[in-house]
Amino acid sequence: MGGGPAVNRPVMNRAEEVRWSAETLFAGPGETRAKLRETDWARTPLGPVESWPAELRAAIRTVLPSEIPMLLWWGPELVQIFNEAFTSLIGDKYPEAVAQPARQCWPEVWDEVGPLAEHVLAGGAANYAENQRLFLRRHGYLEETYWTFSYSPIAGEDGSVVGVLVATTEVTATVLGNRRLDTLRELGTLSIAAADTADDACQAAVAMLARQRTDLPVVMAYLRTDILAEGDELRLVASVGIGEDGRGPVEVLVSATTGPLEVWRVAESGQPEQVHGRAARQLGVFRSGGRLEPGRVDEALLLPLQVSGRARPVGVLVVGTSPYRELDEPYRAFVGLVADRVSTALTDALAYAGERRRNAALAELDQAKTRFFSNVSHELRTPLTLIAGPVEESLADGAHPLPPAQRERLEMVRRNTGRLRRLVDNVLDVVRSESGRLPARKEPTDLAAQTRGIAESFEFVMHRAGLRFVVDAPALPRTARVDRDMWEKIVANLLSNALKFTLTGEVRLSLSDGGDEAVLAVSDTGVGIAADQQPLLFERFHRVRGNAARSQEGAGIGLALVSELVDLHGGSVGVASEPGVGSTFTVRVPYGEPASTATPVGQSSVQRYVDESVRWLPEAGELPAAGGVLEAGKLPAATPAALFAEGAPTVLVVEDNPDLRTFLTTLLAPHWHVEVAADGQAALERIEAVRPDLVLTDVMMPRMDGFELLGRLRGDPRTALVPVVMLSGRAGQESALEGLDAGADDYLVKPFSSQELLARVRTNLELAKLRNHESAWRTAITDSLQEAFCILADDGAVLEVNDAFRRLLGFDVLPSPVMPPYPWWPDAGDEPAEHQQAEAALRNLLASGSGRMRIPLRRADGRRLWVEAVFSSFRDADTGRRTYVSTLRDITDELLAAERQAVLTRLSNRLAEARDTRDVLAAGMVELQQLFAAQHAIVVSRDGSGRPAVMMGAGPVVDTVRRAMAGTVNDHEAHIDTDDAGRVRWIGALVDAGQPPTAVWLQFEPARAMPDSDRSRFLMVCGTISHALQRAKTYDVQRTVALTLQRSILGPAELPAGFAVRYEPAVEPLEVGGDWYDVIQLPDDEVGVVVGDCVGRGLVAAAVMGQLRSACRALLLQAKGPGEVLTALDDFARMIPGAGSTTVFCAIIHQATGRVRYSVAGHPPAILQHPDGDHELLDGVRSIPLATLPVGTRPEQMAQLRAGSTLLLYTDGLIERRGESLDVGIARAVRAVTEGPAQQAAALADHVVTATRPDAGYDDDTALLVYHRAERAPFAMSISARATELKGLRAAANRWLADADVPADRAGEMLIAVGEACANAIEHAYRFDSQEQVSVQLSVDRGQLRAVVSDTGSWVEPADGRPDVRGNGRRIMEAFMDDVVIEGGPDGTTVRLMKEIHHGG
Amino acid sequence: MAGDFSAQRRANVVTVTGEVDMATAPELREAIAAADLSGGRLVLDLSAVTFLDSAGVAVLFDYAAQGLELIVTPGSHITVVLEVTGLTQAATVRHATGGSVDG
Repeated sequence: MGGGPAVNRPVMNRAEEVRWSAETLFAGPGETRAKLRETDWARTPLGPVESWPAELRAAIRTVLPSEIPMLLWWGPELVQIFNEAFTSLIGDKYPEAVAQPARQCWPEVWDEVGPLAEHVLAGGAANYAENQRLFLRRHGYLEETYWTFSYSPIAGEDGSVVGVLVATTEVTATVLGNRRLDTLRELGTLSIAAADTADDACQAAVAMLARQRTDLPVVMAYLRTDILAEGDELRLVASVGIGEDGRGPVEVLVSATTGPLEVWRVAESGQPEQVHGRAARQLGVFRSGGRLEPGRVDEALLLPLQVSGRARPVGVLVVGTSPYRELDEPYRAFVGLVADRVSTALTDALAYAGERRRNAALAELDQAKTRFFSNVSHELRTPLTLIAGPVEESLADGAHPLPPAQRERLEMVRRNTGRLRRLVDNVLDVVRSESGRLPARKEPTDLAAQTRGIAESFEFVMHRAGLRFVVDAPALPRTARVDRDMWEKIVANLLSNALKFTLTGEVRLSLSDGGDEAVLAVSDTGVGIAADQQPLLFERFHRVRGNAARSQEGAGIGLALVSELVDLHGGSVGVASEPGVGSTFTVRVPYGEPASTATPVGQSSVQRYVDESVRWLPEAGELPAAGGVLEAGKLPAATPAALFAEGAPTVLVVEDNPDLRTFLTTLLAPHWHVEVAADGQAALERIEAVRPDLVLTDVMMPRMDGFELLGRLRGDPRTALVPVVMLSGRAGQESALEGLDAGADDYLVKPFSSQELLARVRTNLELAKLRNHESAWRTAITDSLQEAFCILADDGAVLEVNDAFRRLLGFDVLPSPVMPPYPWWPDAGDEPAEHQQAEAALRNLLASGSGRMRIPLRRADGRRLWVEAVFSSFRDADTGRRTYVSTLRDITDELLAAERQAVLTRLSNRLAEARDTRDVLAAGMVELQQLFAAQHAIVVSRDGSGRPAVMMGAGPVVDTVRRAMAGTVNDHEAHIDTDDAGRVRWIGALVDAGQPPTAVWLQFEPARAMPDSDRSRFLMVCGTISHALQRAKTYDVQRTVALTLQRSILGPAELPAGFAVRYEPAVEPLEVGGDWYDVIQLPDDEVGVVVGDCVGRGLVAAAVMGQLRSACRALLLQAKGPGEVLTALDDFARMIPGAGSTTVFCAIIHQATGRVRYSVAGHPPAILQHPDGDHELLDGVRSIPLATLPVGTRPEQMAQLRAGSTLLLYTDGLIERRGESLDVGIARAVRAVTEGPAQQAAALADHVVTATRPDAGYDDDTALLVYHRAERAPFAMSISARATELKGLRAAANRWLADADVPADRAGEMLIAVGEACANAIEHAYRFDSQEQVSVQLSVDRGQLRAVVSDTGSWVEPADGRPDVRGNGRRIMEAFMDDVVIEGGPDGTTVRLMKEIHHGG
Repeated sequence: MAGDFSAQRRANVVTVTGEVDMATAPELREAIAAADLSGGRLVLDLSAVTFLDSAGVAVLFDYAAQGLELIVTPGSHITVVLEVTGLTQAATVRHATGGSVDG
């Protein structure tokens, strides 16, 4: 029964013209607006545009101009209207989506989105979802997308929700980008320790990838079976996502003849491939399981797995891609990076394996060394001692002196054993000293004489061996600087080697001049050396195996020693040999000093270097001045760029020696682009301008040496990955280790061969290419990120930014690195708070390493920008320093929107309190003035003669305002008055487009700049005020009517004693509604009570109620019974529109007896509460509401009120609660009556209202009526008819009266009157019978105090017939009582007295 | 409600307190009869009378003819009784000044 939801069509003022149309409402640029204009709205649930309510129009004006994608869902069917920005997000759902009900437009996501919308529509709070994943079909396939959106309710004029405002941002790119970066980062942490072998590395990588099935539903890794030998067969070593649906098996082996051809092709060519459809499925790429069912993976990328230093791929990575994402560039780039990461892991694993092999070889070497020492002692020293001892003895034997010929021979033996011992000792020295060699003590030496001397010592042996020994060592043109001991070892070793391996023929020694060097050649006609053994000849401890030789003895150290000793002299040793023919060993040793002996000793090392370098240079004429130290500015120009292919790698040569620098340049230039720097400092400066692909640096340099340069490069994340090759004059493993420890990629000891240098540079460049390849991908992916992105070093230096970052902040060019304070920070002077906030954000970022924060920034053009920065960090494995990665999202609009929302909310709250149009205007004006910090705010309308006039606020109507208000006023835009500089002086907009139009104006003194966002905010606030104004106008009308109506129907009715009524209207501020009560005093101690409830609420229902109430009242006054009243009311209600289904409870209460007759028309039962705690529900009459079905005569039912009983009549608003049965509500009302204060109807009514009112107020109009029947029992006393009894009677009666709350005055009066009545009875009794009894009854009812005094005699006038006294008793009674009735009869006399006492409510 | 009836004489003044009804009216009559009227006419102070019925009124009428002055509390029920019975016309009525109705 009662009020269901009201019909919420706005009451249209017929006089008011419709001043909008699709053309005006959707006016503006863009395809979406055009489409909205074209739409035939009459065919949509929204109906023709002209019928649209103000809220819808206001909402449309909010949505359409917004740059934020916004969508409006209107009405129960959620018909869609959206803006251009939204159109761009929904793909081919447009144009159908225009005016389409939401469920039809978004079936695929309605399960997720629908409940949120319904919640808002049902009156719930606004919703907000962040990064919500939705599988959306907008480009012909189900696409994985992410959205951040809010659903806000739009209230109609009665407060119910009529639409939903959706503001949304697509965040797919961000979410995917972050997810993929996470995967790559994770993949980068793969530890070598966890992956002993290439297989292990692959499996670990794939296991890691298995956690990111969304982007990588299927991954398969194939590796070559024999990875070291680059075998021709591949094997599946790890996979994820295949065969999960029970299909397969997958081809495990792939070769030229078996398995998928594509995998084989990629392994051969190294070129990535893409397959799709059936081909993909044949690869073994099957649909994935899990939440993404039933999408089928049928697109796959095949990528080569490359390991540095190997020409062919070592394997193939197959990645089946998500069917829910288009395989776009970022996706491809991501998969490519995944393959690169796996390649890196493989490279590491293989390098690790190589390292282990080298370690094993070194261990073997150690063992060989140990064996050698053991050999030395047994095989060399012992026989030497055995030789030397007897020889010494023979030579020293004076008893048996040797003949001269013998002595000569033995002395030769002694010389040679001594030499041999020295030799052995020296060799031991060499072997012992691991890292350094014995220093060469070079001294000017006549090399030819020295050599002849050594050769001479071999003549005897050669001869004895049957060999021809030819020595050809003419005097050389220059004196050589050599360590004589070492030279001796060189010559002796070569000769002994020749002797050892030559069985017949000749050994020839020649020493010749080779220009700057002496050339020593030892040739033999020995066994020769196989070509594959030749490179090993000079390795220590190597002995050519299986050759015929004179002796199996020997340390095998000879040639290695030669090689090392020659090295010490800066010379070289080579061999030319042919098995079975012979070998020639050639040693070239530089003379070590210029030809002229006049060259001063102590010449600068630079000059010596030049001398050494001369032979390397093509033309001596190109040399810069010898000995000069070049300044950076005078560096020789780099080799002309024309020589190189575009994009050739750049090598930076850092060398202080200009000659060496030139040499290196010349050497490298044919292959690479060469840049030069004279020292470390110059190199750093050069690197700022040119980012080299490789740095080749000397160690010892002025200003900044090579180690420091290396440290700086490694410490700077921008250059940390640039390969550095160091050149050093310092020999020895230790200095090499020092360089490598410092992070050099490679280390070359001077002197080095051109070939070696080129090879090292090439290798390192190629190694770096893989890394650079990765960083190129990274750049590609960061640039393809839609979000701004930057990389920071741990000192806050911004190292890298992407295009979006520059666009966001408005900087076309940024220096690199950018150091704090950044140019995009708010100015410390202008905006200190924001500046500090930005500074704190940076500190926080560097301290916390990851997180999310809001930061105020300033664009290059000075505009304020708010960004949300999401950042994380990682430790760079190369530098050990922390690097920070951050994405920035522009949330300025969001913040503005939120701020706007807050303003609107505050305004709405203020406006909600405003009860009439004046209140609304005043509140709106003040709010606007505060919001925009305007100096003045005025409300302007037109006066009676149509001239603009200020209605509210203080301020003059200036010409600007006058003109704007006098002309045609457009209700869609703000009127702005600007000064010459474009600053705003006045801004105004209509808040009421009616007649006369009313506008709010703000004045700025001084004028000030106002961004577009402020202007639209101003309009929006005015729109809200306008809306509130319309509502207030309606309320004004309603209120006036309501108050009139209320006065006319509820009126100030005075209730009989014991009654109380309450009325709680559901619709504020109305004080009438569809429910009513009535209390009608009827003749004969009877009171008619009525409670009724018309359908609906508000004014319409009140009008119906008024008529029914009047009819009901009239019927009761015609002395009809309740049944008759309702029967008649049935007919009456049929005649009144809207009166059908009214429910009524009608009763007549007989106050004296407490008897109640009632009849019901579909109304909830009245509650009858008895003083003993029992209660009854007056539901004895089953019935139906008025004017629904023909019912004939309505029946009546009876009930009995006891003294102290309470009767409660009510309408269903009192007991009805949503989701609760009526019985529960009735029980609640019964409890309220029981617990309430007894005897006081008014207090009880208040209690019932308080105890049953829901927290949010009654949903429906509620009327209630309480009647409490007085509990006090009547006074009754009988006395003997004697005068002396009177006093006791009076005392007893007086107590009763006091208890009955009869005021003392009235009680006194009654006692006097009762006294007179009794006196009469006693007089009578005196006369007839003193045994007579007089009975006295007192009662209070309906505010009347009544007394009944009875005796059995007759009324007599006493006092002996004296006229002055006769009648005094009656006179006294009549004076004090309102009514005196004396009834005499044959049986006696009864005196009835009545006095109104007017108490209670 | 005040206590018992009493009537005290002092020369020509009789002060009555309590209730005057059919039962106590004879006592009132005796008290008045015993009053010494040599010093002036009879004065009845009724300001402390709490109840007076027609029997009492009848006694007062009996003495009204010989000159009677009544002292009453204005606005009291007693005064009303005296008025409706016409005694206020038959006797001189004076308002009590500091007297208490309840005695």
